[in-house]
Amino acid sequence: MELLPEGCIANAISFTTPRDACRLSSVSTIFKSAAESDAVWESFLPPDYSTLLSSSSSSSSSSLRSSSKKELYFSLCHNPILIDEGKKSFSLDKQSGKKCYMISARDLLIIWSSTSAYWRWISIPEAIILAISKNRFLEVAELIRVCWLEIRGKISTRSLSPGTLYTAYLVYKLTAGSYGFEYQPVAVSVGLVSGETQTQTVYLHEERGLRQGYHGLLNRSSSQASTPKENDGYFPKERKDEWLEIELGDFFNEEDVEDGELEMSVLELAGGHWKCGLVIQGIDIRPKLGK
Amino acid sequence: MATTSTVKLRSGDNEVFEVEKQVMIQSGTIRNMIEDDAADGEIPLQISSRNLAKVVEWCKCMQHRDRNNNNDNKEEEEEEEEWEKKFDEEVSEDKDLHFGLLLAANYLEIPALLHRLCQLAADIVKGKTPEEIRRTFNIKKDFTPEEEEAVMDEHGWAFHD
Repeated sequence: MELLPEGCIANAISFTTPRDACRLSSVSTIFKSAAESDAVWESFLPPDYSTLLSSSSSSSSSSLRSSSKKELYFSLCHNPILIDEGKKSFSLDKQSGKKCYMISARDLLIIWSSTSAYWRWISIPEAIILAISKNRFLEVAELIRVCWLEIRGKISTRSLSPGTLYTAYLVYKLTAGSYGFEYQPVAVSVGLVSGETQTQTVYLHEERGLRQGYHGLLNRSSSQASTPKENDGYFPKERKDEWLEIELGDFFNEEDVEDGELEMSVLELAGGHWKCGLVIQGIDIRPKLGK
Repeated sequence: MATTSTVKLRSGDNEVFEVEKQVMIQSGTIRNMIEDDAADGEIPLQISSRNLAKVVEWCKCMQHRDRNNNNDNKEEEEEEEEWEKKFDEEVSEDKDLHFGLLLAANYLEIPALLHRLCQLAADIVKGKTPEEIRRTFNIKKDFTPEEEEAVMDEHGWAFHD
């Protein structure tokens, strides 16, 4: 194997995964050199990475072009870049190199969000954005008070990696004075606009104990008989950025993608109660873990 | 352009293979020689007869497949698939053959064969630890302790599940 030219080893490594490539770089000197080559990491980057970089408004995107393909790969894994005039962010899944997106609150369809009595837009001071992370959205949406909660997000299936199982998440926080989400589940769905959509009910409130004993009562209003269970995606999880996320559903993006539109929704229309204190950062779409 | 329809390939251990030009133009190296009218005599190659025989066999199979691409002969199709499966197995189980063919495909510039062999090599190393890979391929670790520590530090995430 050591007799093989480095290019040949690099060629073989590009058929593995980013994770394998990193492991292979500690085999021997020639493996390290092959495993770090641009040829290998170029094959792990999405084919349209260059277009995405040039459409980015992030200041880091221009310096990224001059770095090695491996540096570029890891930078895109750890530091999302803003695209679509700052309305979406783009990053890579470190394990697989698959594309991940976050659709900002501004890019979502939030019913009543233009009426200040119901929703308000909170600008995040630039100083804070710079301090936390350079590539965060400038605004989030805070729910003042609605009965009709309807949030929808869309993304083109062509912009997602082909042959990949994705999960979509609503990224949000509940303010100290929030109410209406403790006992009331919301209906969430993910599916092609033109196709079938799977709907399920989830809870946005994180204090699970509160709901003991309420399930039977609540599920009468839901058309599906599924009872939310602990730890299986029906309850929110805390993210590294200290926001909460709740699974909206899965979507398998086929290998030969004809362009379609994927729609994600969060609805609470059935209960008809007042709801308050929900802050929306956006909808995150990334490959399902371990797939 | 020469008038004969075959080329003669001489292996490193002096065995001569006479193969149709149509088959061997899959090799960029041989194709260039044919186009430059430099393929009339025997072409000496630093490839063992065992490996060269395998390369020729592979090229014949691929050419046959491409020629028959348009007719729907189920039987032949299955036969070819069976042959490719056997080729994959044979190569994956025999490291000397595998790497010999890799060197040959690289030298002869046969992209499709190189692609297939690299894919097979990738399947072997996927999911293995560096130590397992060294053992599988008989590779000596040539890092200094400092270098090794630096690599492990940089890629720590890849070593944990």
